[in-house]
Amino acid sequence: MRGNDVFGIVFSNTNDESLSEMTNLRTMGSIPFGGRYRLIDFPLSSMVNASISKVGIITKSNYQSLMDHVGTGKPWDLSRKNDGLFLLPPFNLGNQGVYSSRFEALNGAMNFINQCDEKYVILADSDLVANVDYHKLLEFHKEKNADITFVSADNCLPPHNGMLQLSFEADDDGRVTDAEMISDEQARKLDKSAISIYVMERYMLIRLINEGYAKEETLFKKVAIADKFNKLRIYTYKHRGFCKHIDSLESYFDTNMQLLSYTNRKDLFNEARPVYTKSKDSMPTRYGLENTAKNLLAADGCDIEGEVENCIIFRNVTVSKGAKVKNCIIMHNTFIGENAELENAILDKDVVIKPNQRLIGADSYPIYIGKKTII
Amino acid sequence: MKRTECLAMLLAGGQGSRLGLLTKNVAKPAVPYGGKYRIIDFPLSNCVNSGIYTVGVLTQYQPLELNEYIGNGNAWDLDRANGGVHILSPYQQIEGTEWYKNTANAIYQNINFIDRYNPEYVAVLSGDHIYKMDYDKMLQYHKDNDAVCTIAVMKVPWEEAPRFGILNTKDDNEIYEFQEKPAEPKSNNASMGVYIFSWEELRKYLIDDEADPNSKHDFGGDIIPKMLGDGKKLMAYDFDGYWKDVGTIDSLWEANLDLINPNVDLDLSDTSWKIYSNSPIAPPHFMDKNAEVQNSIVTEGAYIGGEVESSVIFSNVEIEDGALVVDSVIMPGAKIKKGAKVLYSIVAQDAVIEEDAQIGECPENLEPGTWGVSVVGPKTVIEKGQKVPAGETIGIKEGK
Repeated sequence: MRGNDVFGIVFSNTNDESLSEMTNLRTMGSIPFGGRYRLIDFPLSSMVNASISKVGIITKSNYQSLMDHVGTGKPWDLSRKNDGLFLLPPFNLGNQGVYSSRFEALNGAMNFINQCDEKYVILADSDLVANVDYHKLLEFHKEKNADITFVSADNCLPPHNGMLQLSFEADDDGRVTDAEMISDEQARKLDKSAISIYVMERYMLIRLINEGYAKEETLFKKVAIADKFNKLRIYTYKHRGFCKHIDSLESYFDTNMQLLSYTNRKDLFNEARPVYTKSKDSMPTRYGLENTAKNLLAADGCDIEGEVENCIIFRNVTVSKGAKVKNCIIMHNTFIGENAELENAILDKDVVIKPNQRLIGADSYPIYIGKKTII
Repeated sequence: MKRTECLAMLLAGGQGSRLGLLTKNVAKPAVPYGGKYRIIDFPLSNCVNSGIYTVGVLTQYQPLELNEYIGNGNAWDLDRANGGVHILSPYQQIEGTEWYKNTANAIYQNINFIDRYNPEYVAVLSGDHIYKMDYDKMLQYHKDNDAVCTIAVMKVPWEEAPRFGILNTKDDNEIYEFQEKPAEPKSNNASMGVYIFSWEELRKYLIDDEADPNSKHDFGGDIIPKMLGDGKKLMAYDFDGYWKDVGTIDSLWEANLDLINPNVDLDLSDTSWKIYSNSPIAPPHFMDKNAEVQNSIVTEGAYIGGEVESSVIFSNVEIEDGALVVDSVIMPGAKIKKGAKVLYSIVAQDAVIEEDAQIGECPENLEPGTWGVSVVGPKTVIEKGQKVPAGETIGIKEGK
């Protein structure tokens, strides 16, 4: 007996190129987000919150940080004797090295997919910041007797990555009546967009993989939706909550900053569907005697003595006396020296800003300081 | 089974009656401390950091929350194939059922558990002290001195010595006398309630002690004096770091505020001696636009809209815009509404302080000698505008 009849597949390297500054060292899934999370925490937690107890993570490159983060899957309750977490590194690619399309990636995971005996599968990307209710998605899929259901959302721009995107029409019931592939530029002008979260039966996924792989297709959306809407029952489930793609440094910055809004936080960190992540046992954050901290989201283990405003601060960050930090994202273990001044910047992990340094980015384009930089 | 060199027995059954409402439904070791910890995190983390991976936790009073908190020990890395953490509650035996009568009797009742691991040494620890200590160094000291028992001691101010168990030692630190709460102490070496015994010897003494109808079955009162009487070698192990028994409301309040006192030697940010905890996953804490937080510690899930000064803010606490919190300890899930003031107080888990209520008072506004820490019990709601005077405890006393 198991809780339900679904397994999950998460793609950890979704659109890595679009955020190359940060994915030089890691996968999209392991990009730090929101003070204590990694992007993959969102799809993983959504799966676990829907009682899915078997999840495969498809990896391509730079996945050491991802493996560090997910480990055996314990924080998500996925460290199990039966089922649990499966890391699926590139496999069976001959001399190609790494895969270049989603179908190649899925084909490499065929062994895993074939061995699963669950009826349904949910696929999700890791470039999306949203707390989607997969349980409702699944119920919707079954209720509509759909062949394939994908998630869609209003006010969620599709990724700006130069790839074709799906444009679709659906009736009031959610059934897709028309679909075509259009440029991402055009798709970003539409009022609704398709999100790369799919639910279907396992045999359907195998069918799609075989078809896409044989025809050397690259876009899953095209093969699964645009080419099929007039042959299959394709439905779309509307997610009504916070929903943003991370597709550039600017969108990474903006999406983080949107967590400074109460409503966005309440929606994303929904108490009924918590977002799980690895815990590091840092002590609580200490605020000093002469600090001013306003409009700030901060993790544990920080030492705040200076002035901090409109910031997202990760674990174990030090902001020394007299330092002024405004509109910044500061990742783990970064040190900001006395009287340093920072504005509109993203500081990756383990950065050291020496005293009295000044770094000011533009409002529209934050400066990015790479991991372990000393300035 | 692989032999365990040193096993730890953690005494966690105490009621902690002097903590009043705070221990109405939980055992004292499970009382929240320091923003994200429980008191028991300290001895458990000390064990793991000292390389002791087999720990028995003896529970008796209100064990539900403590048992749930410890779980399989994963948070402390104590979910192990060999050893790990074990909850040891009193159980029925062929001779009948008995509660743990006292400290020595609690260990006596678990001789079978200890024998399964066949250890050379057994550390007996209290589950209700805040300190960081390397038990391995103490074990080394115990071995070097070829002692039967080693007891950790620390110097306390002479005027406080009568509140402690005092160990009088010779120049080489060998103990010649134990005085329980002496009116006229001969030394100020107070026992910290941390013992290391050679198991073979302790085992014999526990069995003899159990058979003695005049014994109260207490380590300090019976076992140690008996060993001294028999001329066994007992050593005092000096400890000079931070150590606090959080047995009273005042000491619990102080121990929390010690975390933000720069003159107190208790650093929980030291990564070489981490204190682990089983903390619920919550988003980072948020400081709103009007928040002002000085000299305080704040942890995950908290929301700060108002003013906070010299306080310890636990997970998922909400302090609204216009509220004021000074020198206080606000435990998980408590809510402080607009215009409310919390001064020199402890607000327990999930309590709600409604608008414009006031809890406690600053000592400088009171006649000398009349001030005390105020306490709002778990899940208690303080009505709008209500005042809780300094030193008073208010809470739901009846039922569960």
